[in-house]
Amino acid sequence: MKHKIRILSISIIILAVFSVSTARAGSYNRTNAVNYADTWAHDRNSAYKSYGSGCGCTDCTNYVSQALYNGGYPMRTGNWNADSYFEWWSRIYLFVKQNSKTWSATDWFNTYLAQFPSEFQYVTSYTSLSGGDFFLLDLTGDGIPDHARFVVGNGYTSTNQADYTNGCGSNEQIPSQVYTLIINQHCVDRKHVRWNYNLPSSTGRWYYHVTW
Amino acid sequence: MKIKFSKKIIMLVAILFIGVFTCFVLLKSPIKSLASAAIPNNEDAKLIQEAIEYSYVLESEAATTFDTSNLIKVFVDDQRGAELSQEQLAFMQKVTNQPNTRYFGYLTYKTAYYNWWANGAIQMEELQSKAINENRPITKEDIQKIIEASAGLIPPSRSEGDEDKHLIRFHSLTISGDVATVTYDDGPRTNESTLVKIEGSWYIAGNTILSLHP
Repeated sequence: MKHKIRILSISIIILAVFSVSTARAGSYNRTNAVNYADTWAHDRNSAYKSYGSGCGCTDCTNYVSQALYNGGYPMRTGNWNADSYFEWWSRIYLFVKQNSKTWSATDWFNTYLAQFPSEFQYVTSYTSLSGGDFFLLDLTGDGIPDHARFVVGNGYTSTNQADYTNGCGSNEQIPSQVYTLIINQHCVDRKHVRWNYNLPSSTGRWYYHVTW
Repeated sequence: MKIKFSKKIIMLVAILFIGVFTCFVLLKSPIKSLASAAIPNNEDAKLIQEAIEYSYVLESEAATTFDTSNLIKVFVDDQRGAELSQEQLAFMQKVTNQPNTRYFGYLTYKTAYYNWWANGAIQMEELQSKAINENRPITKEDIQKIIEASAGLIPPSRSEGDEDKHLIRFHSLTISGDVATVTYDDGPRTNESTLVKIEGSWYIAGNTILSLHP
């Protein structure tokens, strides 16, 4: 009887551990993450909740989370509590698409990242970023990030007009093509634009290197 | 006589065509050209635009070197300026430890923002160096200490000052006595700034973000 209880206890512990982390550390595949980001740069994947497209949408962090997950960084489902800083997940539950706030809200995401410095290394320069990493930005000057960009790697910047709009129907001037660190983002949707495109130097930024 | 009459008709048609073509070009021209029509062509308007452009140079300096001493050249605390947003007010209440204060001037806000950024970023830089020297990873506790010392917020990294050269596009500018209202685009934002004229110089006393399009 004691033996059975011990086995049951061990099983419960193993199950609990796996509910938090379902993939092995070190399994983050940057190529897969970047490929996902490229595939969905100008579109929305119906497998996830969407936070809009076009003028005034707020899908940037949702997009970065999807790329991370599709690169192999695992969800932290815990108690499926959308309001927990320690969980990070997306799911379809009873036909309804849901996600944790840490998955889609930039400030919540930043707080989640701070809980796991062994998985997301805070770096002090964009030169430490490579394809599969990301960074957050404070555009409203309140000390809290409100936008996210996904790093594709070093490459040539896009010359496609679709990557240079204001998201509300106006085109922006296409910059000269250069070889540099490039990013994708949602809201405004852009693919392969310079990492600092449209950013004044005084924009607060949080650079994260994925170390999972 | 007939030839002369035809020439007149051709001339009239040509003038008409040029007129229609000019109207068409003006209507189709980009925002920048249309916007310039809403910017008065006088000395004050020029000084106002220069003050806004210079503010970006000084803010870049503040975010890169953390020297905030020059912000006073373009920003001012003046109640004629727009109030801070709710989020900016909450930030100020936290970093100044004045949870009940409802008004902060714009210069005070800008200075506090970059000082807060500086303190946190420098601590993060020092932590990184320390961790490298000690050959150990940065822990959650390390970061938590810095967050606690940064008004409960995760501090951003220092700007490296080599960001995108952005173009400020002015959309409209109205001057009413010693107060001016300017709408302009700085890349990721469309802003409406309030400037006040003090002893012949224009200072930014407040700003409202009208839209975000990073």
